[in-house]
This record gives sequence, structure tokens and C-alpha cells, in this order.
Amino acid sequence: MPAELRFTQARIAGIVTTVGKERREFAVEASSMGLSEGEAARLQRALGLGSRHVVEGPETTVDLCVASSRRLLAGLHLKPDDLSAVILVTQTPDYSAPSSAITIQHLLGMPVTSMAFDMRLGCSGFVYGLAVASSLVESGFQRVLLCVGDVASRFVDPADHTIAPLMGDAGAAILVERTPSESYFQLYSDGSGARALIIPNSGVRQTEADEGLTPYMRMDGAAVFNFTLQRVPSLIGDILTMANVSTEQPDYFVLHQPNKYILKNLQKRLQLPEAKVPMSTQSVFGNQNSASIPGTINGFLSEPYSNGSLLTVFAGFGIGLSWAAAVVRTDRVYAPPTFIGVNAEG
Amino acid sequence: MSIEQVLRETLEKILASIEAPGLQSLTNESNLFENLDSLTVVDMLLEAEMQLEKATGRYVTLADETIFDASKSPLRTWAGWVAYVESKHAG
Repeated sequence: MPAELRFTQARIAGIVTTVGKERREFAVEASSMGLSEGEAARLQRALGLGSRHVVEGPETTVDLCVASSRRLLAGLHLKPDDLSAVILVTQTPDYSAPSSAITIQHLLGMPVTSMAFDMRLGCSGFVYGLAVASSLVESGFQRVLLCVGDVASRFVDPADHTIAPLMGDAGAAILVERTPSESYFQLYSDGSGARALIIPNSGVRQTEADEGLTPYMRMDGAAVFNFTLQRVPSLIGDILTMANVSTEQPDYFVLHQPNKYILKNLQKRLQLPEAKVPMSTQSVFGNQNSASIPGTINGFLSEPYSNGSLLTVFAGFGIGLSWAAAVVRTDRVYAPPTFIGVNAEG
Repeated sequence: MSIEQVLRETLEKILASIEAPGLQSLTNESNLFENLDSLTVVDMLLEAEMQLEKATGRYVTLADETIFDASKSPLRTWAGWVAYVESKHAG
């Protein structure tokens, strides 16, 4: 029996994503990573690599999330006092301690009577964070601010062509408020796959296996590929069953955006219409980790989410291993196009 | 063109841009799993799917959770790979 949650009083009111201002083209980066033209062409073709956005200088996840949060509050005509809690889902906090969510709380000017805490998750993080934010709202909070994101460019070896050209930096802010609305969640974890994606020597654990390794993200691409194809199709089938929704009913299936090949494989295996499964985020902005789902909405679906009532399947999957899905109904969400840089004008 | 011919041409195209000495003379027992890195496998899957769609008029996804499984991968032998793709297209 999976960890299942059903909510009736929590709805998404707004979604804002800010990405790093610096745009890097894979075609330009490839030679500096020691890739031949042939190797670069293979990567571009197989994974859909195009460009990615990374932060400039010393900017952090907190900077991206604060920028998104301010834009979100302004767009929804809310004040920091209107928020009961802020949750930050990230793997790149400002410090190991204290919680960066508390920094966000302070920078936004939220009252000390509000709750603030971090969640340490990656590609499943948006769905997990949305489940926790919805739980708080369902329990009585009026409004919860959910921030998700990473400056992933900081935890990869810039010369590692197997992972560096995939990663983008993004921070998203999502407002969950107490209003009647139905949503369904299923959440899973499998620690036996912890080493499939790991940053060794990044905490206090020291092992022989990690000795001498730099604290950069290491990926067992084959293991992650297998995990995705093994878990995600059934994940989506199960969440549809839980919500009593047919495959045809959702307007969109907004999935984490690891690469084009995986997404196309999932779309074909699940026999979903291509138009309902956005796949371009990684090719334009890079893999945004926990911000990839809101990043896809702001990046490519701003108009339909801003103007319509939509039924959506969200699914996030990756490091942990951790995976989760939700069926969520939204109605005219504040969802402006992605902001490029923390100082961008709307 | 048979599925095996399409797969052979696809592999030859992939091998033109990489070093894989173990696959220079292809036999039924040739081990693609050990001689191609994971990215090359993804590239080959993508290319094979596209070429097979052109040849058969059907798009069939070839990757599943066994592809990178060391004990189950159909890529452990050339003959196994051909049989796997044929069964996918027949299914």
C-alpha cells in the first residue's frame, strides 16, 4: 500500500519560476568539456541537449526562490503577513545549517509567528513539497508558500560531460491556499538506490567507497534509466486509479524533465498524446531538479494554466531514490512566463 | 528490409563515431552491453526506433527496464538484441 494522501481544501493559487540569467549553449560548451563534434552531436540527439540557464556569480537557490516569491506575492496581491508557512525543497541550501527556509522567511518579511523548514529532496521534490504544503493547509493554515529549486550548476563537476551539460539553475515559488479543491498524491522512496545519484563527501558520513572523491554529483546513468522505466509508468497508472481518472481525462501530464529520450519513451509507453506531455524544458533551461515541474508550467504552459480550469498529473522521480505523483485540479492559476534572472522585469 | 538489417545498419552508423573494438566483427554472440557505454546505448535506441519506424511504419519504444540490467539486458548478445526487437515489433 503506497503512502497516499487526498485533500479537499487545498488549491494552487500561483506558480512563479525564476531561472539563472546566464544562458549556456551546449554547442559552445561541448568543446570545453573535451567532447569531439561527433560525441557532442550524439549527446544532442540522444538527450535533446540545447541550452541551459545557470546563475551568475554568487547567486544561490535562496536568491532565486526569494525573487520568485516576491513576484508571486505581488501577482496575487498578497503581503508576507498573509503566509502561515514557507517550505523550501532543495539539495543546495545556503548552509547545511540553519534551514534556508528560515532565511527566506526573513528576507520576505514574514512574521516570526510563521513556520519555516527545509526538505532535502531532488527531482521528486515538487510533488513531495506540494503534498506537505497541502497537508498544512488542509489542517487549518490559510496560505503556505512552497519554494522548490536548486543551483545544480554548483554540485556538478563543470568538466564532467555526463552530467554538467544537463543541469540548469532554477527556483520556483508556489502558493497553496485554503479553498475547496480535490487533489490526490502517492509518494514512494527506496533507499537501496541511494548510490545511483549521490554527492559523496557532502555530509558527515565518510566511507571507503567515497575516499578521494570530490563532492560533486555522481550519476549511474544506467541505474537511473532503469529505475525510471521501471517505476514511472506504474506510478502514473496508480495515481490515475486512485483519483478515479481515465488516461484521457487529464489536460496535461507534467513530468519531471530529465531528458527528451526518457520523456518520449514514457509518453509512448503510456500511449499519451504528445501534446499533453511537455518535453522541452531540459533542452531550453536544463534539468531544474525539484523546480522542473513548475518550471515547465511557467516555461511552456503559462497561457493555459493562467486562463483555464485544468486537470493535471504531476510526477517527479529521481535521487533518493524517490518518486511521487499527484492528480491536481487548477483553476486560473497566476502563472506568468518564466523570469530570466533574479532582477528580470515582469 | 528486415529488422536485423535495420539494426545492423544502425549499429554501423553508431560505431562510425566511437571506438568499440569488441564489435568490429559482429557475431550472434557479440556483447553490445559490455562494449557500448550507456549514452551510446541511448543513442542507438533512438536511432533504431527512428529507422524501424521508417522501415515498418510503426513507432515502437525499444527501451524498457531490462535494457541496462546486467543480468537481463537483451544487449548481452547480438542475437538476443535482434530477437528482443523483433518481439517488440510483433507485440
